[in-house]
Formats: sequence, structure tokens, C-alpha cells
Amino acid sequence: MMLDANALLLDHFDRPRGGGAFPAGAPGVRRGEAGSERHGAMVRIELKTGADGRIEDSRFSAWGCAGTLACASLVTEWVRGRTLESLRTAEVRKLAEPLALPPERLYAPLMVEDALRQAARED
Amino acid sequence: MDAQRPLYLDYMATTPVDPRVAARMSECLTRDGAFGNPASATHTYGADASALVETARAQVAALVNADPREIVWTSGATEADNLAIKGAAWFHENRGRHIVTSRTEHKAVIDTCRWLERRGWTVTWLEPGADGRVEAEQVRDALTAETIVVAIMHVNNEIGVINDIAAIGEVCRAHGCQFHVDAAQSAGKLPLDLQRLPVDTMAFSAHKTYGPKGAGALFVRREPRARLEALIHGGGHERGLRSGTLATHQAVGMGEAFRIAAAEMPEEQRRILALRERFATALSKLPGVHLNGHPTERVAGNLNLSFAGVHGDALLLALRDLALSTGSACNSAAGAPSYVLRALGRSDALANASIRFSFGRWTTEAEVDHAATRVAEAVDRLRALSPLWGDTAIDTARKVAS
Ligand SMILES: Cc1ncc(COP(=O)(O)O)c(C=O)c1O
Repeated sequence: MMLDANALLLDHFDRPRGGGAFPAGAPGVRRGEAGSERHGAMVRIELKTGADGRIEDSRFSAWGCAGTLACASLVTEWVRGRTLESLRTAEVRKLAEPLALPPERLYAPLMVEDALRQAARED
Repeated sequence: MDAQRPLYLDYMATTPVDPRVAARMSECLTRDGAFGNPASATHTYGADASALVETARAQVAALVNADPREIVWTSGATEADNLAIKGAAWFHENRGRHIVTSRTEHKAVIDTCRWLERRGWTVTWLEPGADGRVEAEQVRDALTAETIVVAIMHVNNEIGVINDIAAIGEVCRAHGCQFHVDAAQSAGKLPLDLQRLPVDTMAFSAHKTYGPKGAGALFVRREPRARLEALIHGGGHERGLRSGTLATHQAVGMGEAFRIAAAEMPEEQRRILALRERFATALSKLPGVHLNGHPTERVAGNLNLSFAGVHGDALLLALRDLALSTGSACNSAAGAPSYVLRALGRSDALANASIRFSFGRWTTEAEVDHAATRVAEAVDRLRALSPLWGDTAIDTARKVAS
């Protein structure tokens, strides 16, 4: 457990932004997933694009360490107003730096990054 | 309840020292107390300290119905396990080099056996059943003409299940090999009668029973004699089995802790069992909760639960106002699930979702009720965010959990 979790991490962990999923079949929703039960952590990111092609809203669900949940929550806020194209090269590792995850938890932003890039992939 | 500090529900990790124990210990430290070296035979300082150590030895022996001469002081159960297993392996090395133990032993036993394995001993690692217990038949089937020691714990530290050490001991007796039992988690919680139990060596720890950390003992049977090689040389203390100036305050603390345990065990264990049942009942409304280990053959103060769809690491942080421990030692890449739970055949997901609740001398009904409410809230909240508990996964997760 992360006893040394910083205030930002605790904030996202205790009050996650964009937790859950869009209703099934909601228009303009794309989904990406990474990790698995066997890997000990798993995350799913949903992106909803508006008429202008930019991200209007986002949701996540995650199973894993607190860092995984906090990263995913951070991402759902950050993607708003961005284009799908820009998200295909998004670096969640950089975005997650303020969470100050210990080295052994750095798989978390990488996994969230995989899920995000997958959600934003070209169809 | 203490408003500043998390509510302590981790009594199997360690216990606070009972104030009665601390009072006795502090009488052995300063100038006006029994600070003498128990080995000093030339003055009363030594004699006074020695008398206290011997009283403590008798108190430890009394809890388990052993002869005080069968108790060897150590720095804890880790050292006692090392002495029993390495000591037997070395003493009998010309007779055979085979050891039998289980995958769910404490690291003090596992790492000791691994170390011997690297040095040429052969180790059979038994797999416990789905209930977490090692059966006597498994031990019997593993014995060979080369087997010199069998090490099986009494109560498991993670899941609290109780092994039938009487039955396993009979098998070892019939075969003529030494039987070592790690009783760190059972002394003071379950009755132990070493006059009757066919056990050759048994490890104890003071700090699991409201005594100090860094104190323990090894029971070494006199009749039939358990044979061990010493690990620590110098001075020949403890009949040559463990040299080093005795820590009077530590021995006195362990003695007092074991005396209290002997006097209060039946009543205390009844009370703790009622608390555990109260807690389990409060959580029974929650779906997808899985009990790890045998439902009834378990020590009163332990409840090890897996919460389907929830990760143990996240759950611990969500419950940071409670002091608990998780089965998953989350320090490797994505958190290695508990080796004990994996050995029981739990899926990685369920092994990762396990929490050990352990109750003890100062746990109250109000604390247990509060903890149950907090656990239910946290599990619900994390499940709402979990892809393993959402949409279609819900059925799988529930099936896994039932
Ligand atoms: C079953 C078991 N064996 C051995 C030990 C180690 O005891 P100690 O801390 O006294 O070395 C413990 C506790 O950590 C334990 O639970």
C-alpha cells in the first residue's frame, strides 16, 4: 500500500473523476483496455467525441493499485477538449509525474497510456 | 477508539505489549532492578536475574505443558525455526538429507529450507488442500528413508487455519524423523499439551502474545531426545544450544505474557471468536466475499477475506483508517499475489483481493462494527469503478467468489 501517497494521488483516489462507463451504445464512444487479471491490474478508458471531433467527456474503470486508479482519473480530466489524433501519442508517464509514484508503481501510468492510446486509435 | 491513529486490526502481525508485561520488564533494566548478568555466579545480582529468567522459563513451559529444561531462549520464532531446522539437518546430515515442509509455511521456515536446498539437501514442498490445511497422509506419502526433519506449522499466519499436528506428529514418530512445529501463531490462542503431542521441537514468539518483540523460545524435547546442532557458539549458554548473555527483561516479558495467556486464554478466545463472528455477520450482506482457509478449523482472531472485483492494494488505501494487512505483497511490478493464497488455488484476482483482519485483546464490539461498515463502503465504492465487477464481468466475478 502507498502510505506515502501524496495529496494529489489521494484526491484522485478518494474522489475519482470520470469513474464508471458511458451507457451501452452511447454515440461517439470509443473504448481502450489494457492489463489483465493475470497481470494484477487492469484499466478501461472510454472517450466520447463531440461534433467538432474533440473529446467531450471521458470515463474510466480500473482494478489495480491506488496509483492505477489515480492515473486513470487524472487522464479522464486531462483529455477533455483534445483531439483523438493528439491522444495517440499521449505520454501518461509525464502526465502522472505529479502523482510521484514510486518506481515499482510506474507500470500504472504505462498501462493507462496503453488503454488511452488504444481508445484513440484510428478506426 | 483512538481518533488520531488507524484502528488496529492486525494482531497477527504483532500485538502491543500488555502493560502488566511492560511493568515486569522494566524491573530488570535499571540500577535498582535485576540488571545483573544471569550467568554471573559470584554475586546476588546474577542470582537475582537468573531466578527471574528461570521463573519465566517455567511460565513459558507451563503454557504448553513442557519441562522448563526443554525451553531454549531465542530472539524470536525466526531464530527458533532456524535452530530447529538447520540444527536437525546438520546433526543428522550423515543419516539423511531430506526435509518435508509446506508451501504455506512462514518465510522463517521456507527461506531456511531453501537455503538448505541450495546446499544439497532435498526438500519436498507439500501443497495444502483448498482449505489451507496440510494432511497427515500427505506427509506420510512424502517421507523417505532419507527424511530427517518435517516442519509443518500449527496455525498459519495469513489465513489462520489450524493443522492437525497430533496426526502429523504420529506419522513422523512412526517413521523416526524429527517433527518441528512453528507455533508462533497458536501459543496462547489454542491449548498446547507437549506431554501428549508427538512434537520434537516447537517455535514460539513473544510478540504475537502481548510480549516484547525480539524474544522467543524453542521447545526441544528431552524424551525421546530431539537432536540439534547449535547455530550460535560462544559461552555455552542454554545447554550449548544458544550462546549469548540472556536478555533478562525479554525473557521476563515473555514469561509474564505466557503466564497471562495461560490464565486468560479460554475466556479471551471466546470473546475474540464472538467478535470475529459479529464482524463476519455484518459483512455477510456484501456479495462476492470469499473466506480464505477452512471455515471452522481456524484460530479465533483471524478472518482472511477476498473481495471479488476489488484489488487488495486499493482496498487497503481506501481503508487507511484501519490498520490491516493484505495477502498481496504489492512490491513487485504489478503486485505479486500472496504465495499462501496462490498455493490454495485462488485465482490471481482473488489472491490479490485478500485482506487479513485479525482481532485481539483490546478489540471491542464498537470497533468491529465500525470496521465492517467501513469495509462495506470501500468495497462498494471500488467495485463501482472496477472492470472486473462491471457489466458482463459481474457474473464471472460472482461465480469465482462463490
Ligand atoms: C508463523 C510465524 N512464524 C514465525 C514468525 C516470526 O516470528 P518472530 O517475529 O518472533 O521472529 C511469525 C511472525 O512474524 C509467524 O507468524
